[in-house]
Amino acid sequence: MLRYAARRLLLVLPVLLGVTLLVFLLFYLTPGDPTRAILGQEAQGLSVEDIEQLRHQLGLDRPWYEQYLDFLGNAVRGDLGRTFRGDRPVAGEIAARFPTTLRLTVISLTVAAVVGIPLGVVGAVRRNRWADHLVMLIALLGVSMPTFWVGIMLMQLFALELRLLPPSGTGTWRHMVLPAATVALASIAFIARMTRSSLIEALREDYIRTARAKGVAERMVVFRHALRNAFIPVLTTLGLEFGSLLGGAVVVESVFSLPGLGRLTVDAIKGRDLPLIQGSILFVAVVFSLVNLIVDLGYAGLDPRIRYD
Amino acid sequence: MKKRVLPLLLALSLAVLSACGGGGGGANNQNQNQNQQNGGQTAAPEQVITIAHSGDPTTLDPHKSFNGYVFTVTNQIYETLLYRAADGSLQPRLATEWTPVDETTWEFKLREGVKFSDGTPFNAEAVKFSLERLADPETKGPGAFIVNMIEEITVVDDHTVHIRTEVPFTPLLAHLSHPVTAIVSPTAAAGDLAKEPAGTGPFLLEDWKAGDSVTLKANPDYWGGKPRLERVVLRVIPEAGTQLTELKAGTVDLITGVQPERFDEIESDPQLSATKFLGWGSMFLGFNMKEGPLATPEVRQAIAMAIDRQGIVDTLRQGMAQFGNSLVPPTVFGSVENLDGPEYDPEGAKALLAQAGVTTPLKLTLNTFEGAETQQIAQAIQAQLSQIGIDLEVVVTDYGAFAEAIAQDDHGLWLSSWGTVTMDADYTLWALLHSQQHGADNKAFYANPQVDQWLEEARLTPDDAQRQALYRQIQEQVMADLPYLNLYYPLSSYAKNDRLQGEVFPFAAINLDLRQAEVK
Amino acid sequence: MTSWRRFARNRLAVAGLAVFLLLVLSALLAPYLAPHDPNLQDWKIRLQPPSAEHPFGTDEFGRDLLSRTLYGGRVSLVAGIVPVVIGASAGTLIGLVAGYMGGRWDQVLMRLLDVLLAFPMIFLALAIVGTLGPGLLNAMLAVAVVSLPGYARLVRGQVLTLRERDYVVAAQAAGATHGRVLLRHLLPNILSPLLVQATLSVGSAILTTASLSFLGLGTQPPTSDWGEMLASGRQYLPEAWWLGVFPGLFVMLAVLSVNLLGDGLRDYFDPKAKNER
Repeated sequence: MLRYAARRLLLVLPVLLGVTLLVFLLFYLTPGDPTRAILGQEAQGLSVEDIEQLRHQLGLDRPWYEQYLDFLGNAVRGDLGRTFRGDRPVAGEIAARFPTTLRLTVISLTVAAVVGIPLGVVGAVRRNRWADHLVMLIALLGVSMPTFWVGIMLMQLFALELRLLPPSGTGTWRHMVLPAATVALASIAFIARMTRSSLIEALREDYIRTARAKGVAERMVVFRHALRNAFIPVLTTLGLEFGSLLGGAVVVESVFSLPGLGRLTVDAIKGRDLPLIQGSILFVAVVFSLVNLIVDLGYAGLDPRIRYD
Repeated sequence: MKKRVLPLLLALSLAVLSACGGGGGGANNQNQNQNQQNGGQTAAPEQVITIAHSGDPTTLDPHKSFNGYVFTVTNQIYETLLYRAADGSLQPRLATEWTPVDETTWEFKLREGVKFSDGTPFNAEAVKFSLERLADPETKGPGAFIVNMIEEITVVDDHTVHIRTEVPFTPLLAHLSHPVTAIVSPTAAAGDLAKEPAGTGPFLLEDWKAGDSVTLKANPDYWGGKPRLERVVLRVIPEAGTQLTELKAGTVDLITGVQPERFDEIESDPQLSATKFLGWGSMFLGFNMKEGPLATPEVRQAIAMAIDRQGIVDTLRQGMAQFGNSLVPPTVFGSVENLDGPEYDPEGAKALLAQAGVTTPLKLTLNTFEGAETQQIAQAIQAQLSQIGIDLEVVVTDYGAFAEAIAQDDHGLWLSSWGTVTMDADYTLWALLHSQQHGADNKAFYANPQVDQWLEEARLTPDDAQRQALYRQIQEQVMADLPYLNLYYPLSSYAKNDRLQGEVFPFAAINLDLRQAEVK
Repeated sequence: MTSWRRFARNRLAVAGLAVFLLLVLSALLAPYLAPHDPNLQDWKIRLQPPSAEHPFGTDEFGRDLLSRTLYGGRVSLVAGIVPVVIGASAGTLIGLVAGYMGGRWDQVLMRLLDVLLAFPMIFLALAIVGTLGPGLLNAMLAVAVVSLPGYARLVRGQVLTLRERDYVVAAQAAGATHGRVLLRHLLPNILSPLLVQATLSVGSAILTTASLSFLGLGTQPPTSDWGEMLASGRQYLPEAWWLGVFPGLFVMLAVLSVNLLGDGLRDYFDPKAKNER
């Protein structure tokens, strides 16, 4: 198992190398010169020389592979460089933003699991009856609307009309309710659906039939036997959702003014802040790969049939 | 009534979901929100205000950025030598008086008895240090060009400096009121100003949560007297809609940049008020004159005649804009009133195109950057040009991609806003019109030796009346050559909770002056 | 029991199919159904609530919202379907090759896909649109690339289990070429899970395009899809509620119906379910 983990970890390295290379290539394939973009909208009235000088200061006049190798060399030593805009350490920026994103992800995924798994169980047990249909319809409604729209609506309703919650920002746990609900709404259907189908699958297994034949109560059959086995794909789904939410909650972070990693990266992409783009995407890729690894290793604990050689 | 329709529909469709999804939340929490500052207190109000800020300040070092989100904050912490007052005049701030010594040198007397927040005394050395730091390539300051013309800064005595420019440069005073020329503590600058700022301004940094908020507290030792506001919280709220919701919910006291359509809504709330004023901004259309159809003067003329600029001002912008032909607004020195320009005449425009032998439909592109206003105007222009047989492709991108797209010489039209931040026409006209600026901001590739010469002359002339006359000549020529078409001057606007009183907005959000502000 | 009757046992799936077909029909017939030119601006009647003349109201340029919604459907549905077709085809090809050839091929292709997977989806889409420039075509391409690894993994997994089946081994033993084995024996057996996955992706493709519009990188004016209409209408909410409600309703119906359809298909294709009841 340890050897397996080590091998998987080693396999993450080329992936990370690929990620950073892809970011660099995408950045340099973008037509034109990023210097003006870095200067931003207010920097009007500069001369050609001013722009040239800044380009040189930022090192953007060097060949891309040279810049890339530099980046790699520093990254290996744990130095992600400094932002183009504002000249601040990239690692510090990421460290400042990550907790918010992590909190949002954990809370919303927990809510989604707590709501989604029971919905899926109901769907599977009452397969193709009205309860199944109703439950899946409700779950699907949440995933059928653009996130930003759901967010804006929830904010109007709960913050302005009912005055129950603060509209946006951070500070208290009450600030997290609306964003977490928005994210959770979009994940519930995913989890409910996965739970439903894997539970249906599990309920067909021979040992379930045996249990039923032996007269074990249906509730016991579902909860004690089937659900345990149905849990593995659900866990995978949760792991995948976790990974994609870590970097992908951009829209919710914008609507609810959360200082998360997603917004940081989008701002960096829009501002052509290469060190910041590079650093934050690399960071998310590392976390994502680790989460996947943990999920994979977690299988072993849950399912004795899976063996690692 | 109609306001309720949307939330109600939502409540219906989401009834079950919200109950589940929000279950982890505070549906049963009836307690008064601590953040709700406008409860019904009888005691003296807490002197704390919250301001909505559209973007994250990337640094608190004024020399390392050229960005409004940064300056809004640094302007509270640092000060410049001169200060632009609400009436547009230049007023003393850290400099108390200034006199020309010769053609290229100004003498500045500095305010005495002022200390930086880290205890370092403010003096001539600090001024020299700060301006040189800004110009130093090592600083990597994108705003260095603001002081590039300065040749030498001499410390005469502790409270007197001489600033000499390479050539006579009349707009120097205006440049020294720009937020990027903030005077910083030389002692603190040895450390990390980006995080630990030290200036002479009315407020001090208390806390900065990156991407979330910057909290400032009153500077008890401020030379102008301690501000009445104890605390100012600038919260980063990128979405305009969210900002307004926060304002209406009472969780934010001040937002800037109000949608025209929102004014009535805000005014109808007894707690809130909205204000608009003419700032330093203009919104213009640029034509790449270098090649293609736009090199033909008649085509540019026809386009100008096909756009109902007055209609845009009155209906689309609902009076949140002022019409004018001059490239800089009337608030700026060098603006020209009653400048004749193309009249709205779509039939005439069609005839002009036909006369020039242009075959329609003529395909052209227009680049602009994302933003409610630019996107709206671009679409309006697109619809209007279609009336005269011009098939306009509108390309809306983020500002970075926009800047790149028009940095090459193969672009067509572009729509851009511009701020004459020094309040002197030189800043704008030089950048947009001088032939040396090809590849920089003169993206029209406009080259008129006569205009170049007038621009240079205006820089060297100390006499205001003469400069004004030159700027009129220049702009009349611009109306004839039409490298740019000014569409209108957007009004700046802000909305606030009326508990905040005494705030001053000189021309732009970044200049917000809170020294006399208080919570009532 | 006919296949249709078996499919029709899932009422929701039938409803989904019906609604989706209706939406497709309304988009196809937009030129006949729309009461006005969707791009005709009339600034005098901007932001008007629904009326007999403009059943869905008017937008910020005085354009008829009903007409824009009908035409917007064409863009939204194309934006939902085209990337899925591209992504599924490319992903299937990669998955087939990786799964069937195995060894080096498999290793290299899977590592390449891991690189794509390690990117958070929306960033990858953003970076691609940022590189290629905004616009519907590039947005669709970005959504296609983003969805590609999912298909490839699905297909590869299927191939790995099918590869050892008797009929495949038999075909190989009989001297069938790789291409023939892939196309005649493997692909047909993968089609049903692929179809399910693709159907379910149409909804998320529509939503991803809407997110790109929210971030300012979607369709370019005057073309508009429902997501872009919502994104640009959001600044007039809640006063101009019709700008949020009508396009929002259509997005919801489209995504919901296609998801219901996908779920129905999955149940239908579920091999073990056939023997039940």
